[in-house]
Amino acid sequence: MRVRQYSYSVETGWEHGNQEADFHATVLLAFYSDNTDYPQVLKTWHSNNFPNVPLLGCSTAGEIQNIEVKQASIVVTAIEFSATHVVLKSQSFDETCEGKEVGQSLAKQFEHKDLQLFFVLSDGLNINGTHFIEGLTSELPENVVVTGGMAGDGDRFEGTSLVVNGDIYERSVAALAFYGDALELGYGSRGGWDPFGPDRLVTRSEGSTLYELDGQSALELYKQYLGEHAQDLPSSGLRFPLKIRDTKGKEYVRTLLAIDESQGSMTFAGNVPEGAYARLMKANHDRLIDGAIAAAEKTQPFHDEAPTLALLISCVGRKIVMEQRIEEEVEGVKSILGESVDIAGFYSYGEFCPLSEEDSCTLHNQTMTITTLRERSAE
Amino acid sequence: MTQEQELHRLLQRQLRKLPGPKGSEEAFHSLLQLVSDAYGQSDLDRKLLERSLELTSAELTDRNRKLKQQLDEQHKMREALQLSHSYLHASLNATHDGMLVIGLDHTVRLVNQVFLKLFNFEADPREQALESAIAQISERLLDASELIEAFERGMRDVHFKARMEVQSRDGHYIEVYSSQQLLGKEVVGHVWTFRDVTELRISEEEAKHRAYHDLLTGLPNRRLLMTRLAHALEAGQKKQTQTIVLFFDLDGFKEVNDYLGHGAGDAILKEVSKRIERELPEHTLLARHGGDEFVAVMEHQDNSDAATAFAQSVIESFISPFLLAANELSLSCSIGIACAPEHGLEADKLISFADTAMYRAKSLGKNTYAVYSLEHDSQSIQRLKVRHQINTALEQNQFELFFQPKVSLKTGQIIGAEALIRWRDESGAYRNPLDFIPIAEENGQIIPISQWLMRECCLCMQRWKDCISDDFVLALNISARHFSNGALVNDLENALNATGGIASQLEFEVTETAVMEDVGLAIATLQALRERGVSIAVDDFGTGYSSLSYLRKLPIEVLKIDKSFVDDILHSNEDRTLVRGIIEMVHALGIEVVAEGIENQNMAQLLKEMNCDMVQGYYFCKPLPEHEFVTLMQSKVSYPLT
Repeated sequence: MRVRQYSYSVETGWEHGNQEADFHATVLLAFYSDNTDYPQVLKTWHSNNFPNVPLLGCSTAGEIQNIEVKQASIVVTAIEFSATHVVLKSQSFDETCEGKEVGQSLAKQFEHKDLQLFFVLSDGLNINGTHFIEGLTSELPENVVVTGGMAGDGDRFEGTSLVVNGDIYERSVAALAFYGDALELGYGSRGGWDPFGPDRLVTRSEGSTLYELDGQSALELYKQYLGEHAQDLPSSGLRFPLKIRDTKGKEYVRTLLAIDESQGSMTFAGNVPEGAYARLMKANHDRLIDGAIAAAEKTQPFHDEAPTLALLISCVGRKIVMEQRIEEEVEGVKSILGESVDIAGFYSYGEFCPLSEEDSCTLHNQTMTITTLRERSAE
Repeated sequence: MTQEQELHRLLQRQLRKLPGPKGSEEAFHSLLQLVSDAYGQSDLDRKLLERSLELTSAELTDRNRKLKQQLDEQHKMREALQLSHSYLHASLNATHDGMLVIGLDHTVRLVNQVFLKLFNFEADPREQALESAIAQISERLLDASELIEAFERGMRDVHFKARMEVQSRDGHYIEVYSSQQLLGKEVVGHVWTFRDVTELRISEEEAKHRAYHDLLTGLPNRRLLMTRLAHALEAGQKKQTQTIVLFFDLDGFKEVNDYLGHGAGDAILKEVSKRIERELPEHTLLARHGGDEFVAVMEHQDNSDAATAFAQSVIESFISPFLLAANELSLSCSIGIACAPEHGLEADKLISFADTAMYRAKSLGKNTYAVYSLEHDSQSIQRLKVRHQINTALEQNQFELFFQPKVSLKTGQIIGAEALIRWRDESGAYRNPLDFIPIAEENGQIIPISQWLMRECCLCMQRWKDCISDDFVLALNISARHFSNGALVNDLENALNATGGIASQLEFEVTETAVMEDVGLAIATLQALRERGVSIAVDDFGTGYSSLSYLRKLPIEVLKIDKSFVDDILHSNEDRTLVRGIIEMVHALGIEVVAEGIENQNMAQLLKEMNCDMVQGYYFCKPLPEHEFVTLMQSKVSYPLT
């Protein structure tokens, strides 16, 4: 297994690393942001350079290349497998589609035999991520690891896109399926946010749309806490994710995607069920970095040797609060995974990963989610 | 290098990322911008953090206040709950009923002290399995099967309600009933109540016993006797055997009562009942018939031999004298015997025949027995019997008074009444006055009857004082014998003294015949009565001598024309003329006239035209028992006369 990375920006044009004649890419992953021309640029580059290699890419809130966090760039990571087989498929949907059905339809397109890893990228704004993953995992065999994330759109929350081979999609989900015993993979997902203030009962919500906490408008509460920054909603709202403890005692974090002033509602990246308790969370830079490091540490027991590639999907909310210090979390991950690992990834509107080996994949927010890959040598 | 290592990590990164050659102007400006951004970012973070801190602390303070408030409310609620629990507990243990509450989960939820005591629980049944609690309850009962079944049904069926009575091994009667324990509308258990009704049952049984037994001797009373005798007669008829009735009456018992008092009489009666009981053959019932009379009923007899032997043995048992406060008293008894089916098949007749036979025995010289035969049922025996019964009636207050209003023909209002004696005997039936008044007249018993009558009339006038007018007069009939025995005035005096009665409220009705027997004595007696204040009426005028010349000499106020003259006045010219003549003449003597037997409006109308003063008769009112008469007087009735 080998990895090569390519990057592009308007200022610099395409930058290639060492070109090796014997490098034969099996699959291409691409992440881009802040420029509506980029999907087309990417498409052209792909057809010129790797016309027959499957390409999966999405818009982001920032690209990760090695220990660098970029903005307004395209980063392509080419992976060459010696034994692992990869299949790429996508599924488009419209406004009438339920997230669960979309997930089920996507999963059904794939052969499930020998399937190891199901790496998913989804639209970042128009799908209920919780339901999408539920649909997906309901159709996939239990032992298949599902990871991935939701596409981003900087801190604008306006529109996300997916590039699948030569096509650009606005409402779509896509997955790379990795087959074969040779693939060794690890995963981990951690947040590092600090809950604060009182428990608040979710008294009115519908799916991922929250109206009331403790019988009071949730939107008003956020405005109160944000003060003058309320005008920057929804992105400023990412400074205060919600920690949810549902009626079954399950805990997860939800991050804000959109607000609707006319309805007085807030839409989160996943469900906020009625009857659950919610607590505001705040960032502490050091603990966010510790969270990223913990996510990296979670991947270690899966590997006998250092992984070859780490796919980092981190939440846009972390980037908004960390600003100039955001790279410290990537550096933290690298310090755990080792100098030899190649790192690719992006800042997302939602992360997919199982919390542990016993759990199936669920949607997370405000986390650093890491998928590590290595191919065992064929002995 | 050393210097750079000590720089902040962020600044190190900023320096690393600088564009252009190190130390260039571009790099310097870029660095300044990055550092400035970082300061701005830091400020923003701090402000948000401070704001959050402030808001959160305000929110938490508010929540804390609310929680404290809730806590206070909870404290109050808890206190109220404890109070209500203590009320419940107190009421639960104040009730006389044992209470057991079983939950739907088949556990004992609640018991009270009465329950624990009732079933000898030493351990708290709430800490036992339900089965062992039920076993403990069962152990205390004579037969617990019905209760156990009810418990089981209650466990299966939440809507089941039980009601039963069980008996404990120590003889207590326990009433058990269950009801549902509801929480809102939901059944959450069953409440079982155990009430000790032993005292109630005993008093019920005692009342039942009293209703059928004589209090003094404990023997069956007349009521039970009649029922048993009727049964015996029926059974005897089926089995073709004889049923024999023996009627016992003590000779001279009245004297014991009169001279030694009723206490002594009662003691004798008790002893007599014991002596007869000692001689009682098998299958024989002994009852107290009343007063000094006992009746025995012998069932399943082939002939009267056993009965006569029994009678003889009772007579012999009276030989030894009765001991009464160290005094010896000799008594004997007369016994009459009647047999069914030979003499009759009805219980009351058979007793009456035995009674008649008993009088036969008395007429044979007492202290013997006689078996009934038809020829014994002679007039003399009957008279003896009635005479005896009148004594009993006087003793046992069997006489009553009925009252017939006298209506003024001037006003239509009731201005007086005639008191009429009635006798309700032991059987509750009214006896015809013609059957006993002549006998009482003949043997002098009429005197005590008359004395009773005077006393009773005085008492009536006192009882009625609130509903009669001042000039209301109550008339009573004085028998010829009493009138002529010389003690009438004295007896009146005694009655007035004994009762506090007022003589002027009384009117003595004396028959024409009684007066004419000895006119001289009559005038003297009437004079004495007049002086005492009693008014006098001559009753049944026209049936005897009807001598107007004597009438003139008598000090009387009222004359009552006999019914026989009045009956026909509507149809007979003669009678009309006669009555009109009598009224006119009597008025001429200054005497008022009362007409009896008025049966219709026309008669009343006619008599009014004839200037008759007063009338009485069924048209206005039949004789009434006292309470009805009082009601009539209270209604202030006025009769229309035209």
